[in-house]
Formats: sequence, C-alpha cells, structure tokens
Amino acid sequence: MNNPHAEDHEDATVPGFDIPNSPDSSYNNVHPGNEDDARDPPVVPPHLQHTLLSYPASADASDSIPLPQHVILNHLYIENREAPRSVVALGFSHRFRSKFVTVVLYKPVHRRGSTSS
Amino acid sequence: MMVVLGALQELTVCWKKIGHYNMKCRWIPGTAGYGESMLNDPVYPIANQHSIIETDEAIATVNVVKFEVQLYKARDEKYLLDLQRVQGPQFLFLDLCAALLAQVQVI
Repeated sequence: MNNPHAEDHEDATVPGFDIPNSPDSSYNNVHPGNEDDARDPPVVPPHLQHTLLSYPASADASDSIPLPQHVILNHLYIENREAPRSVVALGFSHRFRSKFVTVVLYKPVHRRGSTSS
Repeated sequence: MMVVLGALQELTVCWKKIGHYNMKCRWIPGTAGYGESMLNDPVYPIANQHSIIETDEAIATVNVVKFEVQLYKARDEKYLLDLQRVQGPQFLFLDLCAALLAQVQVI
C-alpha cells in the first residue's frame, strides 16, 4: 500500500525508495457512475474526532497538550459554531520530522446576499 | 458528492476516483493570476484562477496541493466530508478548503 504522506521536504526519504508521482493525466475528473450511488457511503470512523483542536484550553500556560494520534494527521477540521459568525477557523495537525505542528487559519465568512454599508 | 465535484471543478481542482466515495484531488495555484486576483476578490481569490502551468520547468518549482476527499455517512441521514492533505503547503491547503467549503455553502 502506498504511503500517502511522503513529502520531499518534510519527511526524510531514502534514495531509491521514492515513490514516483502518478501521471497528471490520471486526474481525469470523471464523475462517478450510477453503480457507485447504489451503496451508501462508509460509516464515519470513530477515531477522526480526536483532534488536538478540541483540547480544552488551560489557564496554566505550562501545561502541554498530548501528542496527536497519527490517524488524524492532515485531516481538515472546522470549528463548531452555532450562530453564524463573521470568522470561521479551519485547522489540521501534521508531522514535521519528529515534531507535530497544528496550523489554524481564520477565514472571514461572507454571507451571500448580505448588504454592506 | 456531485455538489462537491462541481465545486472542485469550479475551483480548477482535478480529481480521480480511488475508492468508494473517495477521490484524490490535485490543484495548482496559478501564478500569473494569483496575485492579481487577490486584489480583485480579497476573500476567495482561488475561484478566479484559470491558468495552470504545464511546462516542464515550471512543474519543478510550482506548488502542488494534493488531497483526498472521502464521504462518510453519519447518524440521522447526515453525511461527513473528510478532507485530508496529502501533499502541498499548509496554508494553500487550508485556503483551498475554505474556498471549497464556501463553494458548497458550508461556510
């Protein structure tokens, strides 16, 4: 099974064991046929909910948060928000060598049809 | 899923099916239009890009964002769309996801 996380500048690669990229033409933008719609999508796996971004904030700055589980790495998370806000947070955790980095991006939300003064 | 694929097409993202409700996607931010379009549309500039670099030299230096899309079924007739980065700069991936979620009107 191919390793989907091999990156040139982030993970150490062993010369001669690099996986070549699949040809760009293989991304053919084919819409799935009717036979794919017959079955339901797979059930949500339970391990995806364990993102570091849900870790409760601590008043003590010296507390360290736990290491992320490898199964959630590089998966996108969006913040839960009840009421429509003006900003939404998107984030994910990834591995850099032996450390883990969690990146969060705050994006403004534009309501369609809203008027601005 | 069709809504998602339509949104990807709108954002000049290419995809291929690799599994059940599972797509692998590839996106190259255009260089010529990226800077300018940010001035035109400061919120979601990605939707304005149409140029894709195809020369051999440029591919070596151009950022490529690859990610996988998987649709899951959750409880109560709800569905979960999982986006996982495979390759590419972190902020480009996050920005593209924000544009995609806005395109399908989740954000």
